[in-house]
Amino acid sequence: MTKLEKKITVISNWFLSRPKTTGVMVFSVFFVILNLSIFFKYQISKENEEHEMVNLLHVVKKNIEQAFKNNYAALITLALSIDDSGEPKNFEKISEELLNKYENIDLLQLVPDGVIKYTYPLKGNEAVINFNILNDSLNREAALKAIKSKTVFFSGPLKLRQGGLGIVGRLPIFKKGKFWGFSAVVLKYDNFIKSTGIANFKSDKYYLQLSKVNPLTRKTEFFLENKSDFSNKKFKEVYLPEGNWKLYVISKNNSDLHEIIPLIILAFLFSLLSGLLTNTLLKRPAELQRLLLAQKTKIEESELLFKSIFEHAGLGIVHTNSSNGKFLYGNDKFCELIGYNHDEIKDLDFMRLTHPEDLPNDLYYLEELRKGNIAQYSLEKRFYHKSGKQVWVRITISRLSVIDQNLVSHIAIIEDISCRKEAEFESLKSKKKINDIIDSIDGVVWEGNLEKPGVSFVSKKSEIILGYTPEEWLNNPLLWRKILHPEDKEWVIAFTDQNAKSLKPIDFEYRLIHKNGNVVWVRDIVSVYHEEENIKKFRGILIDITKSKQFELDLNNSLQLVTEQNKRLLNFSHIVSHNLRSHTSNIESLIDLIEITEEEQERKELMELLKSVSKTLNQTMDNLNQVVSIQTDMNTVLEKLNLNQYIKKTIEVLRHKIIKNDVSIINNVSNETFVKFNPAYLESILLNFFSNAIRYRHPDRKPQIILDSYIENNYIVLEIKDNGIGIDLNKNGDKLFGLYKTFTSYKDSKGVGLFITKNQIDAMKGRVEVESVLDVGSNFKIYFNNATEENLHHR
Amino acid sequence: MQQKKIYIIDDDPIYKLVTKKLIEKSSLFSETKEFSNGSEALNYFENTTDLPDILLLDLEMPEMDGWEFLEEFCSLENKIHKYSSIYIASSSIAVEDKEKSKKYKCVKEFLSKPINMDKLKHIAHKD
Repeated sequence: MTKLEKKITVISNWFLSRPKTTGVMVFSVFFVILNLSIFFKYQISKENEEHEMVNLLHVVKKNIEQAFKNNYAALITLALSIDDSGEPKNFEKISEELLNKYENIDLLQLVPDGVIKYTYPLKGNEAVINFNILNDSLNREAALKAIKSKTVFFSGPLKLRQGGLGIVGRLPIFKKGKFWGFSAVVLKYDNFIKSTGIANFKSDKYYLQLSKVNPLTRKTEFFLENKSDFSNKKFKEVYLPEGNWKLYVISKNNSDLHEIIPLIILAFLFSLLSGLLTNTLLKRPAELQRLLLAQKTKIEESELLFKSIFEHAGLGIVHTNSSNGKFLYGNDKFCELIGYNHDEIKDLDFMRLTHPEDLPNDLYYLEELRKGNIAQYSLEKRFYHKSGKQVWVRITISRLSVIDQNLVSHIAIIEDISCRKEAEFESLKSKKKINDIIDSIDGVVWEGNLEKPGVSFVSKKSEIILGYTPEEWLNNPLLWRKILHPEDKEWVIAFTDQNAKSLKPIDFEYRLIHKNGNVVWVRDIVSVYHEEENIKKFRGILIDITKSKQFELDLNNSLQLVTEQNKRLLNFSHIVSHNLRSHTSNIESLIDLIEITEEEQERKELMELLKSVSKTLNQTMDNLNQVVSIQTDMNTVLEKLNLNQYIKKTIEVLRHKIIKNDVSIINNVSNETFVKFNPAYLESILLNFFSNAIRYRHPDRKPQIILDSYIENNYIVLEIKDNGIGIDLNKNGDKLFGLYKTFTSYKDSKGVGLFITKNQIDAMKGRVEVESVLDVGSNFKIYFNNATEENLHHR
Repeated sequence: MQQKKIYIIDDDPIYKLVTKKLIEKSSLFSETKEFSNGSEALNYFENTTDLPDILLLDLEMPEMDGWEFLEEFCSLENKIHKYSSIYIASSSIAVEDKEKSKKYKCVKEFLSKPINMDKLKHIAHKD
């Protein structure tokens, strides 16, 4: 653009952007120009008009003067008819000729000394004869003026005596230098007007007027039509001395200015319209111009913004040719990321910088992008820094095809994720380490939550300890419940549920069934974690304690055994001390007595007593021996014995007593009931219970013994029910199976039988229980142990 | 000094016989009675209100042993407002029994069998 063009553009823009100002200016210019042209036109037309009016005036004046000239000729002819004596000759004849000659003359007169003496035609005008015009105020001045000037003088129009309006032309006649009178013509006004052409004058623009100052009133009188005042109108006038008249040409329009006012208004309206139109027309471009400008500013701003974003972004941004992978332009961050400067990167392509392992993936997606199958993709890959070290980046690539149709390019946004990757590797490493550690723990580490059954994590050790892989655990939420030992299932579930609800950490032991069917004793240590609010996690470690449990159970069994034996031993020692002491003290006392007794008879008696004491002592020693043998002989032989056979044998042994006391025995024990027991013990036990049932029979009723047997858990139970005197268990329960504990006054109660019986049963790992009501009967239950060795582990 | 009544409660007939002979020989007591167990003695006391000055009580007895007897006897004493000095004579040398006996107010002393002349003298003088 040249300087001028630029200036024009600036100016036009200035106008375009200011529609109101421009509108006003257009209006003003139009208005001024139009008014000027109107003014000039007005000037010209005014000149034309004046010219026209002057011409017109001249024509009319000429016509009038012509008319006067005709009259003048007539008057002179008439005057010449007067002879020297002052007598008219042939007045009537001449008048007739004249009247014929001049159409517009109505009447001819001769007025000697101002008195009308002759009139032609007389007919109709008799009234004027002898009328002295010099005496008439109306005519006197004009008559005198004519005399004085010695020229024709026209007076009127005036009212004629004979009627109508007329113009009277009078020519003073001098005879021998002496005023004789007048020759006069009377022109009918209408005819006169006609003859001058005034009557026939017709124009759109003008009209004519004729005026004369009334000699009497001294007022100007007008004679033609349209007598309205025209002083404010445009007119031209000319003076007619013959009649002291003034002839006017008057423009019909009031004023010339009136003529141009509509034009000015029109011009004003036109200018206004033009101004408004300009305004309206310019307004749109102005609006557009403004928008354009705003848009331009915006674009400039956003361009600046984008440029600054591009340049100073915290992310690397690079524009790449998709066809050859060459970098077109990269921002500072990108250069910094790969270690090359802006110029160097233009010679590089991304393939050269990408780690070979990551390249195929990148190229695959780029191809997809080029084909237009995808618009964008992101991946994590490694770039080689100029220094050779690897840079982990996350790269997001978008197609960029709009800039140049021929160039398929893409824009890549690159984020340095080396730190994150490193952290990830570290995290993976430490996670692996933790997992290794967890897997190396000699126990199953698990994790679960309150909401869902099952576990969310199980360590690999579960495969070794329980036979189930972590996958099996994760796939079956109910696995744990499934493999709980049937005997533990109920209480373990109840216990864990209760503690889970109250979020209590627990440490407990129970049994699980290994996949191979073995029983595994575990210790489960469960803790509660609050990972997030509302999310409670349980983590536990399941330790195989089968071996230690076995030891514990064995130990417990041993302890129980030892405790039992200890108790028995203590009891035994008490028994020994008590029983032996009672005998020894008796012996001591007896010996004391013997020593102080002098009488022979008495001494003998005391010696007898001493003997019996020693016998009893011996008996006691025997009993104790028996007990000791049971308690010490731990390896008593076990045999499978038919219970019923032994019952029958016992009944046979007691046959005598049974018959003697009329005892009825109801035996409900089946022949197929077998117990593992020592035969001698079984005989002894049965004999003891049967004997007791008979011995402590109720005196008021027929003794009855009912035998029953059944299986309860791992025991075969034999019930021996009698209807004897019963035992007050509250009082004597603890004494029942004690040695030398008797609680009846029966003579043959020794307090030995049940003690030995109990010892025998205990030695066979059985037990004995008793139910009894005083005066109703007793029910002894003998529990024969039927369990296999491995099932001896009970809680 | 007026001699006192001494009764024996024990299930061992030999002991009773020997002790009775010893009491007779000692001439320290006015009267001796013997019972085989606690209930037998208690029945007698309830029926007769004949409470001795001194009771020699064994602990190990059938039907009603020494401890049960003590319970019943103490309440009986309070009921009839007669009181006896009880000496436990047991063959037991268990410390527990000795300690337990101290809980009973009516028990004067815990003696171990055999009861010999010295012990009888001790009882007679002490009471």
